[in-house]
Amino acid sequence: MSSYQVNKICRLVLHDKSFRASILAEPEAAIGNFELTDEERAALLKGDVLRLYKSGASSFLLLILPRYGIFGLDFDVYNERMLSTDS
Amino acid sequence: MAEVVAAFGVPHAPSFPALVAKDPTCQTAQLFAEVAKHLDAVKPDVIVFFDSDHFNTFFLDNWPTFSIGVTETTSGPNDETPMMPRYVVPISESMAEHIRTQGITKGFDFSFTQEFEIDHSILVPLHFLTPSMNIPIVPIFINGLVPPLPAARRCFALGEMVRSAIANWPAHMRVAIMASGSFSLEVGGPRMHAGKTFGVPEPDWVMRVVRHIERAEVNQLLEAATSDQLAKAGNIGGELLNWISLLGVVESRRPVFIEPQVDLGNGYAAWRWD
Repeated sequence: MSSYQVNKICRLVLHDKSFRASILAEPEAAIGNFELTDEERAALLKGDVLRLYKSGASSFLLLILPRYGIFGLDFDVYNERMLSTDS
Repeated sequence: MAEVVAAFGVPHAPSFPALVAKDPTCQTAQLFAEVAKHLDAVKPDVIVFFDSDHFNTFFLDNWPTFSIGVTETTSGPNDETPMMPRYVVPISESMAEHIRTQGITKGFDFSFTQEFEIDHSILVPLHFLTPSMNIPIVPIFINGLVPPLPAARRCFALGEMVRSAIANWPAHMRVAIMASGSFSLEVGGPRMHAGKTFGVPEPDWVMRVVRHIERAEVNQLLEAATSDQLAKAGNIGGELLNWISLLGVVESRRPVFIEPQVDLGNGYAAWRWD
């Protein structure tokens, strides 16, 4: 189970400003070295937070992503996707 | 010997400092002011602080169930809490080491940390209650966020152990207890309110917790606070465990003040020994 890596990416966004800058500038390259499944990688890049949550990532940590506009997320989009029932 | 002189339970939402800066007369400001009044009156020498880290002091590479900070100072918030200055907070290293040793002797296998930062969950309360950061703390971290959580009865027993450790302390010292956390709160998960970053999944649970605390119905609270119930209360519903550890120190005393903020899933309380 590699939800750990998804959680770690979220936490790094908050705690490591240079990682935050690189993931904003080049999201795909910034997560390139993390051991993610293909599905997790695709869900991250699409900002599909409900799928990440359902596969075991922490919702508390996922909320860091819209806080800094990562993967195109803002709080409204995050809220809408997390509350959506059709994923 | 040291003596416990008061206990305080408060929430710690990271939005509070900005909210109060914008509206200094809001309910949150008034409730913290009410708690601060009791804290100022009892003049403690040290605050033993039950808290749940939010993945900022620790992370999932090494996640403790019970941990204690044993060093001279800490600082933070390290999670970019809006409208908060950077604070340096003294720690009572000798009392922390005493509680760690007493705990391990009595079967509470604390991990400990000698170099760490703290997040909003300790510093939002201190920002409102002791903004000059002149009172040393002893930070005790309880896993309230990552299931399986420690059992409510275990956390209560932890509080009883802390009470006895304080009583065993050889020097005179006035000790206050503080617990930080909400009763029902979902942050970032599918039980958020529409258009918000949080939700309160179980407002009835908030009222039940407040009623049990108000009436000092400790056993009823411990019976009700199962791991299922805490999970139903939201993804940080486990923060109630900090309050339950506080109740282990408080025993059967009733609070002199308790007030819920049901729409935010939390409550504020103060106990006085005088």
